[in-house]
Order: sequence, then C-alpha cells, then structure tokens
Amino acid sequence: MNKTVLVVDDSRVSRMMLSKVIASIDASWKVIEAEDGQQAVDKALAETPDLIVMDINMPVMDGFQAIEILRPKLPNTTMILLSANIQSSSQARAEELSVHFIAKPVTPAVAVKALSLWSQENE
Amino acid sequence: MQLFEQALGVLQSGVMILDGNYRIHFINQWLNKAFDSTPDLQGEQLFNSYPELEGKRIHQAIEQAIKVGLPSLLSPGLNRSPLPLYRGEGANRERFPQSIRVQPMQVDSQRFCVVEVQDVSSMIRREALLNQQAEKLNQMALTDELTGINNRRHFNMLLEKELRRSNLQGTPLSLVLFDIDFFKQYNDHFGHPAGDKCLIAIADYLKHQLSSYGYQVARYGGEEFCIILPEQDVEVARHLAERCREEVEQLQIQHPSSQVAQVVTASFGIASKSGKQSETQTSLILRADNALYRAKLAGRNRVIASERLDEA
Amino acid sequence: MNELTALELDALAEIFNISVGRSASALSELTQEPVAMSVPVVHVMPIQRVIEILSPSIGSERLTCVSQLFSGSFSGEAMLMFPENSSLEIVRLMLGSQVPIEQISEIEQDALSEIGNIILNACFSTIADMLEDTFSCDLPKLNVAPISEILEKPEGESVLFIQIQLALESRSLEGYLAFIMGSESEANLQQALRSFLTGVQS
Repeated sequence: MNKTVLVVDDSRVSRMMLSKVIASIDASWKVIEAEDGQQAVDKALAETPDLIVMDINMPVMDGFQAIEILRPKLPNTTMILLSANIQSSSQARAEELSVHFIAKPVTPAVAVKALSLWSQENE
Repeated sequence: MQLFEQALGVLQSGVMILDGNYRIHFINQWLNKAFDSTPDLQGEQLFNSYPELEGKRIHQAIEQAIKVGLPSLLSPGLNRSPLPLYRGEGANRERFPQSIRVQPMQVDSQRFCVVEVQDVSSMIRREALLNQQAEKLNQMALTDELTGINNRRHFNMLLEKELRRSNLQGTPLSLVLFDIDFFKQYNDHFGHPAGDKCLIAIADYLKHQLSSYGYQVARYGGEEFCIILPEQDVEVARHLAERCREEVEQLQIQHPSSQVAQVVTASFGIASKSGKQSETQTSLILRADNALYRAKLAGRNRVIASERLDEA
Repeated sequence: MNELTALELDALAEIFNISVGRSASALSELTQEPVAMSVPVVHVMPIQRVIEILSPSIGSERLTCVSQLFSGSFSGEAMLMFPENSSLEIVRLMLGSQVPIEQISEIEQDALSEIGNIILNACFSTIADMLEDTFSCDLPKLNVAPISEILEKPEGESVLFIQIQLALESRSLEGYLAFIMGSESEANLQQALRSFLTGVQS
C-alpha cells in the first residue's frame, strides 16, 4: 500500500535531506513537499497525507498555524513539528494539538524517528 | 607532578577535571570541601552524586565541552549558584554565588573537561552595596536635603514633562508659586535653625495634603515653594492656593516680626495655561512669579492669578 | 574562493536558523521567559563592506562584541555584536535589574559574555553536527569599542555575516554574528558545505 508523506520546510536543504532519507528507508513512501505553511495546508487538503513533517519557523504561515488548521480536518494523519527551539510554551501548545516534536537539525535520525512515530500511531 | 597537585591543593578557588564519562578524575581540596556532604568525590561520577544537576546549564556546559569540545562561561548574574557549594560553619553555612569556567582538554585521544570555580560572594555584596548607593545618590540629586520634597532640579524636570503632555494632549496645566511672608525677619528673630523648622513644617503639610491628588510639590528656592497641577485650570488652582493659604495660617507658627499677621503666612501666585495654547516653561514660570510679586505688592497673605495668556 | 551557490547559501542559512533556535531555547531556560530569535539573511562579504553597511545605522554608537577564536577545518574569529545600548537593554531584561545604563558593572559584563558564549557555542555545535566537523575554541572575550576598531582586521579577510533579531518581553533587538576567516578557511568552509550537500542530493 502506498503511503504519502508531506515534508514542509522553507529550507530547501532540509526538504531534500528528509525526502532522500525517507525514500531510502522505505521506497513505498510517496514524498510531496511544501515551502511554507500556506502551501502545506493546500497540499495536505488535496492529498490527505498519512504523515506530515513540518518546520515551525517559516514565512507566510508558520508550522503551528498550519497544524491548527489541519489537525481537525485530518484526524488520522500523524503530524510532527521540527524545531531547534523547543521552549516550554511551544511544548504545551504541541501537546494540545496532539502533534509530536523532533529537534532540528534534520539528520537521517530525524527521518527514522518520524517514520517510527508514524508506525506507532498506526499499529 | 606532585608539586602541581600540592599547588592546586592550596589554591583558594576550585578546580576539577572530569573524564569523558563525567567521572571526577581530579578535584582540589578547596572544591571538595565546598561540596556538601560527600567526603571524597574523587572517582565519583558527578551526576550520580548530584542528580539534581542533570539537564541544568552546568550539565549542558560540561556535555558541550566533552562531546563537542566547546568552552563555556557561567556568570553569576545569569546562574547565581550552579553547583551545590557551601561556605561557613553551622548556622552561618550558606550556598555561595559562583563564577564557573568549563573548558575542554584533549590528552592524547581522550577528551577531558576542566571546571574552574570561583566564590564571588564579595563581588555580589559589593555590587549590591554599589546599587544601593547609586539609588540613594539618584534620590539625593532630586530631593531637597532640608525638607525631603522635590528640589528645583526635579521640579524643572517634572514641569517639562507635564508641559509637553499638556501641549501634546491639549489639557490645561496650572502652576502655583508661593513665598513665606517676611521670612528674613523670621530668621533674624528666631535664628536659622528655627527658620529651617518652619520650612520643614510647611513642606510636611504640603506633602501630606497634596500628594494624594497627584500634584507635585517642590522647594523652588530659599522660602519659595511651588505646586504643579496637571490637567487643572485656573479655578481649581485658585481654590487650592486659597486653601493652602488658610492652612499655612492655621499652622499657627508664631511670627512676631511679621507686618501682616501674628503667625507665619504666605503669598501665592498662579499661572495656568489652557489646553488650546502651547506655552514654554520659562513663560509659565515668569507669569507665576509675576502674579506672586503682585500678591506681595497688594499686601501679602493672598492669592493672585496671572491673566490667561490668550486674554493678556 | 568561488561564489557560494544558492543551495550552499541555503544550507548556511539553515545552519544559522538552527543555531539561533538552540540559543533561544537555552536563553529562555536561563531566564524562564520566552525568547525568540530569527535570522533573516546570511551573507559572505569582505570585512570592509560590513563596516560600510553597518556604519550608517550604528553611527557613533559603540558596539558590544563578544568574540571567540576558533580553529578546525576552517579557523578564524567568531563575534556576536550588538549596538551598546541594545546590549545593555538585553542584559537588563535578562537579569531583571533596575540599574541605570551608565552603571553597568562586572556582573552585567560577565552576563553579556555568557549570552555571547551561549549563542556562539550553539553556532559551533550546529556546524559540527551538520557538517560533521570539530572545532576547538577559546573562552569568550568582551570588548566595547567603535565599529572600526572592532572590525579592524587584516586586508583580504572575509566575513560570514548574519543579521539576527532577538525578541525579549515585547522588545525586539537587532544584532550581528560575524565569522571572520582567511581565504583558505573560506575555501575549506565551502568544501565542507559541498560534501554535506553531495550527501543530501545524490
């Protein structure tokens, strides 16, 4: 069965890194990309991805705002926020929205963790 | 080698060396003694002995030194007392403020970390003292030494602020200037210490009566006082000045050499500006001073208001 | 050195975004207050150009500079700079002190060194993580001086220059990160970026 992951980051390098590592771990994942929160909302509503991995700090619309819109509309999607800056206020907000947090920088380990969070939620 | 260890042993600051597993490879006497409870820390794993340090800034700094090779500075302003270190004995025993440096050290292929600790109690105390003194000096620069109310310098600052607000927001502003009648004669009769007491009595009265209204009182010169009434027009100022005049009289301070009464009295001049016109500080003070002069000419112990600028 | 490509600049921008993100969370932990930091743009330019660009907005105000010498596959001097008044405001907001700006003391100076140390170390550790490099560096030094004096370096050195925005209690303050490197180090940095990107692209 084909699964879809939406990778959202304004940094092209981070998107490339995530896409590449996810594809190399499990080729059955179809990867789509977005550069900011607004694009992410549009693409997520059109494609209903199984997993969303999204940066917080982005222009136009940040990761939190996008997740706030998407969470009620996509209850079955696993959502993960990426940030190097995890303060207690943002942690509380993430819990409220039932999204996971992974610390940046994007490394192969981040992609592995994202996929394992998805499988935990979908066992 | 023994010589160096002995030297570190007599040092009046702390040194410890941790290995890659955070085990205390060396700790000097000063530091070991300052740590609470444990007799000898050498060989112990720091975070096993003090689990409360886990995740704290000191832990992160040590981790950064060992894993990434970066040095850190922990300043007493941002981290008052990162390690559980104590000084003094018995009831005087207290955790002391510290300044800490954490530096990586590479020996062959092994990474160590040197933690250097200083007791900065005296620096903190000196700072606190300096801060107190600075605050006192700031206060002193703005209050009149004799009466404890605002001095002329502070009055000028306050008036400037209120004038700007009045000109900007179009609100009225009034200024009352008053002078104790025949004060020179009072001093000559009773002597300067009595004169000072008289000034203090009047200042105390003003302070208690006026501060609750948000009016500012200052000693403008020798026996001259002034009151700033933000957002008040001439009628309110006249009413207030009249009340002050009565109250000064009712303080019943005997004044045998006065030519207007048996007791100390004062003469009042008022200048008000409406919200419509803007006016400079000098002009407002000159008008109040002129009104005061006319109150004296007219026989003292009375209130005279300057004509409004737009009517003059 | 060759001009950096758009992708190489993007990688640098991401490195510094992560660095200031880590710094913000460390500073917030210290002060128990939310701290926000962002990096609008990353530039590589000659040092003279940095002085030209900063001079009009700094004017005659002095700069507060925390610097650390570093060496690794590329070496040089890393600096965090704020206009003097902003630096004093930062330290006052962080320490919650009421002391007037003219009376800044040893404690405030040490605190400024530490703030600089936290931010610069976050940059080094992020570079180390992402480019798989290691650095050794000195403890921070604090210096308050006119811009021309702070950036008085040998001709031909170039600067990795990053404007940063620091938000504390509804105040937003602008500062600058500068990594001053000789041409050889600059080429080594580019090389490290390239091998990082090869790993990402393939």
